[in-house]
This record gives sequence, C-alpha cells and structure tokens, in this order.
Amino acid sequence: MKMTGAQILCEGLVKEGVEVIFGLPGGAVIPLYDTLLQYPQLRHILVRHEQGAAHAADGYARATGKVGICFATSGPGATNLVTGIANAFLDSVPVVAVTGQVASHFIGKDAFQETDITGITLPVTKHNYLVLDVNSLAGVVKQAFHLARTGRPGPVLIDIPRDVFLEQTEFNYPDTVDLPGYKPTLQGHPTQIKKVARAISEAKRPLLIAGRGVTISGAYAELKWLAETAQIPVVTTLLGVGCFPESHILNYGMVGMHGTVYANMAIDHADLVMAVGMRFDDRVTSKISAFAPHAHIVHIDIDPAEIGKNVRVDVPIVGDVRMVLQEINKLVTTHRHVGWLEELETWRKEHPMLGIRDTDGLLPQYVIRQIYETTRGEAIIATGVGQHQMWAAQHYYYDKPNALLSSGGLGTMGFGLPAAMGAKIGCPDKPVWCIDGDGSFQMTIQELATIVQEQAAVKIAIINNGYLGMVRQWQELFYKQRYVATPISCPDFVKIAESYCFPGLRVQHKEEVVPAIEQAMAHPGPFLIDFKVDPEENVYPMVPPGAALAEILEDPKKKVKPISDSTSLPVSNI
Amino acid sequence: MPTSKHILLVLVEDKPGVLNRMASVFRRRGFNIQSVNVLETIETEDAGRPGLTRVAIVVAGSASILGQVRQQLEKIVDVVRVSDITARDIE
Repeated sequence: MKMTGAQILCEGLVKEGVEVIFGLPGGAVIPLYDTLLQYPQLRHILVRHEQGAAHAADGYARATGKVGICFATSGPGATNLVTGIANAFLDSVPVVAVTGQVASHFIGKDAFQETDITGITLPVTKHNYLVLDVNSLAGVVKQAFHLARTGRPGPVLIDIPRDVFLEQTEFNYPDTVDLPGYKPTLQGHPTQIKKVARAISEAKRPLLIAGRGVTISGAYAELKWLAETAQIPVVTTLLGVGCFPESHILNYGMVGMHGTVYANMAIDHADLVMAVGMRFDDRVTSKISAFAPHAHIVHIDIDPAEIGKNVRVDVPIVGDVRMVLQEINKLVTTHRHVGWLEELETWRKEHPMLGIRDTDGLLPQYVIRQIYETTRGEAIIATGVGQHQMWAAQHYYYDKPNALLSSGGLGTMGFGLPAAMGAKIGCPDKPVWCIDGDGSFQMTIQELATIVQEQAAVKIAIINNGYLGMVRQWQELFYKQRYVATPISCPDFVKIAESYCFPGLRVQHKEEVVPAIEQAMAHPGPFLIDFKVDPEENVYPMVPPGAALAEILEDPKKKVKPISDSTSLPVSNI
Repeated sequence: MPTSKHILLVLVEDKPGVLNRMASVFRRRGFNIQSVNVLETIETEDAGRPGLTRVAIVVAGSASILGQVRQQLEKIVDVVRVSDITARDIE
C-alpha cells in the first residue's frame, strides 16, 4: 500500500509502541502534523518551547523505561531541542527526536528556517539521519528505535525534509535491522568473570558502586543478590540512586562531590571497587589520582569506550550489567566482612546524613524531608540543577529505581518541570513532584501552560532562596563571598500559578510546610508551593573541586549545634 | 606524554557524512590528522545496501589517548572496524 512519508513515520511510531509525542509544529512539519489526525492513538502534547519537548521526552523515558519521542520543526525548532538532546545523550536516555527540514531542493541554500541539524547534533546523538529518500524512511525509523533503546541507550535524531513527508511509496516496515557497525556486546567475557569472582572471594573490604546502567538493564535483583550473598556494601552515583534500595542496610548512599561522608570514605578505604554501569564522572571520582587508592578496580559497562577512559581499571568487563552479574553470581559464594561493615557503620554514626539542624528558619533540607514523609517516599521526583537537586538526592529517600529524575551528566537547569511533566504523562497513576530551584524553574517556566492544558497533576515545590544557589555556594567558599551575578529576583510564583489558572501557596515558616504539602497532594490537578527558604544555606557534605574524596567537608554549622533528627529510616534486614 | 605516529585503517559503511563523523572524534580530542586516504568502495552483493569503504588515517599522539579515540571511532554506528596497522608491513 502506498503511503506518504508522514504516514510511514506515524506507522513506524505505532509499530514501535509509541503512545505520546512531545512537540511543537512549524512550517516544515505541517504535513506531519496534518497526518497526526489519522493517528488518534498517537497523543501529541503541545509544549511551549522545544527544549521542553526534549526534556519531557527524556523524563517520560526515564520514568516509564520506554523510548521518549519529540517533534520539532526545522531551524529554530530543531536547535531548541539541542540542549535536551545533549542532556539525554550524557545520561544515556532513549529518545527519538524527529525534526522537519526545509524541502530537499532548498537544503544548503540558507533557506528560511534552515539549519544543518544533523551536523549540529552529531556529537550529542548516538546516531542521526537526514532522510533524503522516502524509500529509506521506514528502515531509518526502525533503526532509530533500535539504536535508541539497545546497547547503551541514547538519543537518535531523524531529520526529514518537507517534501519527503509528502512523497509516496510502498510501506514495508522491516522486521530486522542490518547495522554491520553496531553490535553491542551483551555477554561478559568468561575469563574476566572468573577474575571478578576470585577478586570478590579474596577481598577484605569490597565495595559496589552502582550507576544508571543497573537501572537501564534492570539488574536490581542481581545486584541485591550479589551484595547480600557476598556481603558487599553498595554506594550509588546520582543517576544510580534508587537502583539499590536506600533503606537497605548495605546501602551507604551516594558517592562523590555531595555524597555521604561514609560512601566516600568507603571508596578511599576499599580494597575492591566494583563499578557497575557507571562511568567515573569527575563529580564522582573527584581527584582521579587519589580515587580508590587501595582498590583493585572492576568496571562493568556495556560501552567499551568507557573502560579506562577516566580511571585505571584492573578487570574490565564489557557487557550488559544484568547478564554479567548473572554470570558472576553463579560463581560467588557466601562471604562475611564483619570488620569492614563495622568500620562503615562507625563512619555512618560519626558522620550522619540524616541530621537536619534545628533552627527557627526554614531550611531547604527540612522541606524536602517533609515532602518525603508526607508522600511516604512514593513520589517520582524530578529536579532542576543546583543546590535543590543535591538536597533532593540527599533528603528524599529512594527505594525504587526511576524515582529520581535528574540531569546528572549535562547538569541542565530547567530540566525539572518538563521532565516532571513527561513523567506524569507517562505514569499518570503515580504522584510526581518537581523539586526545583527558583533559578532553574525560571528557565522552563513556560511549560506550566502545557501542564495546565494537559491537566497533568504535577506538584511543584520551589526551593526559593533568591540566589543561583550552587554558584553562590562556590563563590562563598572559594571566591571570598564575591556574589557576582548570583542574586536572582523572581516573579511572585503564587501569582504565576494563579495566572496559569491553578492554585499555589507561599510557605515561609516550618509549621506551614506539612499542611501545604498535604493540600497539594489533596488537590486533583497541578499545584505549586513556593518555599521561601534560608537564602544562604549550603549543600554539605562537599568535596571541594580538585580535592580527594577523603577531603570531604562537613557542614560547619552542624558542629556548633549538633542535633540528631528524630527521623530514622526503616532498615530492612539482610 | 610521548607521542608517536599511528596509522588507523577504518572500515566504514559508504554513506554521506561518515568522514565528518570520524573527523569529529579527532577534532574533539585535539588530534591533527596528518593524512587521510579514502580507498575505493568494496561493493556488497546486496544491491540495496551501501558498500564498505576503507579509510586510512595517519595521526600522531599519545598511545593511551589514541586508544580512547579508537574506541570512540568504533562507537560510530557507520564504522564497522578499526585496526591500528602502524606496526604492519605495507603490502
């Protein structure tokens, strides 16, 4: 049967299981949007800026595990996607972006709204296509989804000229892909797997560092079995948060710049570090030469280009984390590391993360802890980037994967609101909170209109301190308090909510926090709370930039008035 | 870091833009490509799919960074295989 290019694309999307598209139309994609009328099963969410479409597709993909889709027109539409595509690239999120292009005979002539988007996105996509022949379109769509979701997932962009949307050809959707240059290694090498099993049996102070690869491959049960059987404590990267339950007694929290003291001490003292589905980002390792100085390092990752990129590795294993752990687990026997765990527990007691200072002021950590308590830890949390992001990672507790949606690699301010929207549209039955900063929130604030138009019941908690807080913190600690360009004004966010026709509240005192969160939860639609928090609170612990993990700083204010928090985490037994 | 001259032989799918994708990896890591030769296409039996082309790239750089560049080249979807033929006799 003959179909137009636009129909072929839509058929492909349906065959790939797509249900939701985030996008914004323009001249080059009008034929595509016109064709959407014939495909009511493809729900189109009209964003207010294409960056929001890319982030929403990203948030949707993280929350659901499916591929996220965004559409944009040529030129500015396409370039507006770029930040969101780069964000998905660095965090290995499966996204397929479809951009319209000027008609093929205009390409290369600086036509109206023409940009070379495949050239622009070349370094920030897993792969991209410019489709000049409608006959190749079905195959390209098939390949794009295959590339986005297999191996190390990532964004794939398909650029389609206006005339290709209109041309007709026979539609045949291929069953298989033929990519001679793309064959991800899934099974780990048996010799390497034996080496790991031996290293585990010989280790006295083993440690697992779990990253997003555990979530992507769904290796939760395998990781838990390994940790419990060989009694190996687990720490996670920011993107690994939740891939191993935070209430588990073997979970020692997040590593890196704002990780827990005990997680970073564990890396410093371990004799075996097993890095699972993570890539030794500099926010994790800090000073490379001082990273895990006593450890034999095992690195399991599906991307061979990550092996040895940042850190010397003793036993590399390229493969799917779940498959590799299954093979390792077959060779692992029960071990006990009582002395090592006692050491870790001592650090945990001496440097607790749980404590929040008891002050009359409204502390951001307190707000986030109350969101955790009131939502009983069941919410999906999307964040922007900065101080609030770190507090949301530290003071909300995640027992499930895909519950913290945060821009780890690119550090994209403005990710929170559109990502929360994508997550809520993908998971309508789950509570979704956007914990955002007043700076981050103003970067993609226009998506409030989308949230209202779609009646996506996203709850928004703005941690409003009147600063670009993380930069201000660095200026305070490392630039002698010269606060250049960090004090930031904001509109009246409650009035903003009102003008977008949904309710909002301002909270300035501790006793108002819980009632406000309860009111937000009870409201059926979107709800905004503007928390006016202590403006100069800092994120601790903190490894200063360039320092070793062991040189982590703790909150100096805590030492003045140490008050332990009454809250304690439920701890499951192993 | 000691640098030395390397010859990489890259087998790629014969598609527009593949040279750009490869060059981008070298550019990003600050390598100056000393010479590049695109050899003639090996036609595949399947007429519907592109043939394969060999690209010989000569670069100078530290062996460890070049090793990473090589892995990043292999990540390119259109790249089928990368061989470092520096030590090989040229036939």
